[in-house]
Amino acid sequence: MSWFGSRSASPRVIPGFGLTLGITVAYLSLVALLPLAMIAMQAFRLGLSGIGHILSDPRTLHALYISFGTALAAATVNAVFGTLLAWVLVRYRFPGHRLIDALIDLPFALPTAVAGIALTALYAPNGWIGKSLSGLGIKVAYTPLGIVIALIFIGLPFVVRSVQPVLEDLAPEIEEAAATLGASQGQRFCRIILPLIAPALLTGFTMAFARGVGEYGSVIFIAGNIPMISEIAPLLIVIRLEEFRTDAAAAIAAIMLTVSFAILLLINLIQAWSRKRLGDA
Amino acid sequence: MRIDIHDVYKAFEGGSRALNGINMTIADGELVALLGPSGSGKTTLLRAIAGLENPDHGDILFNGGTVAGHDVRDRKVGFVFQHYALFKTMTVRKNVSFGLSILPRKQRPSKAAIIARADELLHLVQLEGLENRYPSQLSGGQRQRVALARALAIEPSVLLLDEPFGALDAKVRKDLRRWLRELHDRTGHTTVFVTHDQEEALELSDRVAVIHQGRVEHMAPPAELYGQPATPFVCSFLGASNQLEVTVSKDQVLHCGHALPLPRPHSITDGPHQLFIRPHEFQIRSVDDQTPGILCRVETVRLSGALVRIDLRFAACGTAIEVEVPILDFERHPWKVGDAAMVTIRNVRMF
Amino acid sequence: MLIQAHRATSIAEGPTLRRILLGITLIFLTLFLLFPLAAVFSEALSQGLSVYWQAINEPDATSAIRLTLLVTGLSVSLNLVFGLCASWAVAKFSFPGKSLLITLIDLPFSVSPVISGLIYVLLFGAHGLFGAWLKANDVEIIFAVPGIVLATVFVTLPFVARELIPIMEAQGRGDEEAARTLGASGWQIFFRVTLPNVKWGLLYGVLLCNARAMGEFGAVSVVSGHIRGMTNTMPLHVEILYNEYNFVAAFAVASLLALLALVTLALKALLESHNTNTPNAPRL
Repeated sequence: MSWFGSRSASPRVIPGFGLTLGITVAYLSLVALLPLAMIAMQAFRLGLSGIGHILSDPRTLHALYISFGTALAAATVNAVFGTLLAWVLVRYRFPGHRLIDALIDLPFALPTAVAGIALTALYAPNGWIGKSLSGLGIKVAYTPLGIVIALIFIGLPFVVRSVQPVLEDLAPEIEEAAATLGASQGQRFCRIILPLIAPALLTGFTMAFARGVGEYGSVIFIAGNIPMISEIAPLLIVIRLEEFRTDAAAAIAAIMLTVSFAILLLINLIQAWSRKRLGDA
Repeated sequence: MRIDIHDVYKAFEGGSRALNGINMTIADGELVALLGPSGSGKTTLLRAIAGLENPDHGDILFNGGTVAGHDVRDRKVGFVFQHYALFKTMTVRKNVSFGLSILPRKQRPSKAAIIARADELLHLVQLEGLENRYPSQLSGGQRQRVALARALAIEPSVLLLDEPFGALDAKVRKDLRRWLRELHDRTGHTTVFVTHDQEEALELSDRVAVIHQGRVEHMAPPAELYGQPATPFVCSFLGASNQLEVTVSKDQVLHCGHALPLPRPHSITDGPHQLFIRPHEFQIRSVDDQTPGILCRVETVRLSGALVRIDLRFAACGTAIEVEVPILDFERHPWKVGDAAMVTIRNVRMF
Repeated sequence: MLIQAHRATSIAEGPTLRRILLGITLIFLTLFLLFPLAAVFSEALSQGLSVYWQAINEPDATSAIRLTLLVTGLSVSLNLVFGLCASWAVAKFSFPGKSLLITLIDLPFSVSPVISGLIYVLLFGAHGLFGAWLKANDVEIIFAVPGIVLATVFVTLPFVARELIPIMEAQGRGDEEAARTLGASGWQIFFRVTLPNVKWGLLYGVLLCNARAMGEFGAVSVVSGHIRGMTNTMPLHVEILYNEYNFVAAFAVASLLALLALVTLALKALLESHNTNTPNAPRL
């Protein structure tokens, strides 16, 4: 994809170009780009040594570790179950099919704070699920496991909604061809279907991961927020802000943003590469 | 391998009958075309042979043994799909070697042997040098040949092709057609292919089965199919035909007062019948020739390559017919619109 | 239970495997979607309807509802205008930097909500870039309603534009050019040709934008200051009540937000059946 579209040679027949582009660029710059640049400015002011100093705080390091680690775990779970969900929704027809299809987007529509307190109520030691789990000696609420649970909820739709359209477009002949060549069901899935849905799966995984790293509302209730145990990076930003340590808050934000953008860029590159290679044959 | 198909029925969801009592035998090493209009059931029949569809009734036998209950995987059929169904995440070589690479470890050849076999097949289909390309980087004809090589790699007992040339442009189509025939003669696989293109079916195959409404209308070598079609459908479906309503009484064929020739040999009962005459089976002469015939008037004249198509109307009752004249004859006698002409009939088919 | 394979082919998985896969799916969905949803309503109603009613009618709660509606109204309107401008510019014209612009519009989706609030604190907070100037001129942004609106606008900025751009691009510029040749003015073209063409997509974008704006928590939490009855939106009010161990009240307010989510999902399904072109793409 080229960053610069080609300039149209013909005179513009449709009016409003200057007005709409002007408003778009001005609004975007004022509302989004200028404020985001503040993070870069703040990080620049701190310099590498300043950021390094803040990073060397074990509490910061641990919070980042928890945020990235739990997001990775949750995105992995969602990759597996999201693929299964997409498969079932595309391939099977059963009573309630449409309802479930609509319900998949609940995590997008439900405010995160509501999800947070609902999950906490469920997984707390006296909650519906927490009670039976604590009988098994598993503690979910107020541990990193609780964070993973919240992030599974939040990230659930990403993989489903990425993989679903690709599975829908998959020509049945591809699998039939593999079957005539002697491939078993497992071989067909692993060697034919999985490679075909891999780019979409990767996209969904990454979006779930990126969302999980930055997630705040659904996590802080169930996490318990114990420093060095279950404290996430976004919460540490809030805490630093409340302590008026704006520099530290901005530094953590800068690190999170850099990593997130790097991952998104990487994914875009992988997508472009796979599109180029696979074409639409 | 010999294929016997006995009384096969298949209905689809919604109750429409795709196969309606199919019976046929395909001899070992034969190249057979399943020809029919779209929706005739020809593709369903091919898929039933492959095991991609399960018949509701009837039996399919490979070399005398039933394959009912045998999974697609176990039938060892080489199937080439209409749109090739290549695995786009794999290179050409990986596509071709797929069937061998998924064999259970005990039966699987060594990696080197698999590659050697794939390359040998790619040589056979004339695709050397493209081993490491992806399907998206190939032309339609090349993809078609990859699909063929991939199907041949598992050493299939029978090769099944669904509209093998349907998605290709006219020139590539012709080349591939000739090439497929040569390949068949060299490898000797029993081959069945589906087509809706009669020229393709007649030119390429040993025998053609015309399928209509889920039944075999007629199965015969191309010349017989064209010359002595078994049913009116086959006659009108294969090549152009002029169709005349006639009455037969006492060995006399009558159409608006003209006596027309009787098909030979025949077993026609008296009464109304349909007469089919191919455009090239008419002879057209000047009126002053004094020979007997049907007096007609020339309506249009169209040049079509080596042939000239002339539309005529019977002077007596206005029946319209289409006649084909070789260009050489036409140059000797250039017919013009409005000319009167005497038409005689050399050959007819009657049902 | 009747489970049919969607495509009838003899190579689909057998009924047993199908049942197992569907079973796992349903258990997973029950645990992760249905239970949380059910928990909200059951906790909210655990002390009966009158307690529930009181919790919603309490002055702090009603003021939170009013603030949420105000903030949502403002930010959805602003982003609606932005979305229309951006999609008009992007879809009807070609210009250098177009792809970059589209990428930048999506940017807020990949920023943590907390950071979305933080950037405004860095700009307008007491120690921020404009902090001293704002204080001198007695303008309050952070810990006040303007900050909440700004943070919400940032978080929901891409929704409308993102929905409209692909639809307008797919429709091309033929209709507008035809209207132009017939002598229509710019506004006439917009209201009589373009808008009717994209109305379902527009509604879809507004719906998603609205849901996110009402429910936004992290970004708003950072800039709000949590002043009861003043800068408390519904999600923030839920948090305060929850942290005060007033669970029933917290879940009562939360149940309103959950209802909003369910209505959103229902309308979304309705709009999708109306307009099959609407991409079902995931969004942050």
